[in-house]
Amino acid sequence: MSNWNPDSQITSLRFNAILVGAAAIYFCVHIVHKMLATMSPEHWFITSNWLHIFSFIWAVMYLGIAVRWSWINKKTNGCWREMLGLYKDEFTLQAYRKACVFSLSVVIAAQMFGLILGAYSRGSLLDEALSLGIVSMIFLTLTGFAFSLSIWWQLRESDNE
Amino acid sequence: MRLAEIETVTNNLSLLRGGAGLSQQELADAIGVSRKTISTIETARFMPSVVIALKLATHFSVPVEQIFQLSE
Repeated sequence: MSNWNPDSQITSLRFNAILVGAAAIYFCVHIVHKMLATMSPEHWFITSNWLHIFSFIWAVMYLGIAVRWSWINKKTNGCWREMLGLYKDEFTLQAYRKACVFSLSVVIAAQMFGLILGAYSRGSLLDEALSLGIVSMIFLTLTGFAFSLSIWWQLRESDNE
Repeated sequence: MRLAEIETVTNNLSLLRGGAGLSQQELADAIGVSRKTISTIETARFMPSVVIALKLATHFSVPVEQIFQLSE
């Protein structure tokens, strides 16, 4: 097994957070679109073709980030270790673990909020709009944002660094 | 235990590194960690493991207590 450069592990985690954040934004827009389709079918968000254009632009951007990441790390990449998050550098590993724990906490908090909201919104328009698919997408979005923001916060540069 | 009684760890890593004329990247390469690990130890944002503490002590040829100290 080749050595995975510690600084490349930081770069990998940073790009990982950017990709997860980009995916979360994508899901967020789709949630709004799907909910509006149920709650307000005549809204211009639903009637226009903007979602297709947005999806195309986002897909190109996503691909661009992934290609740039691969290019930067072409000599020192961690291959499957990058995908599984098997970081060896101590700071990177701790940042990754903290982000995972924070994401899990956010999902648990969202589930508790959802339980309370679900009990009081039975039969309402919101209840109708929140299908199982949308709820799953909401959890994915929240997890993505929590992970991405946590990594971004931990990898921030201080004044004297 | 009151909050004021919680012990914290301070370190002299930046002083030692400066004294040795090393950059963060050079020190990181020497002990096999990322530059971010060194910079976050210096700013006390990250508490390293015993392994890294011992590697740093070995690198500077000083006891670990000279790099890391307990303070209340």
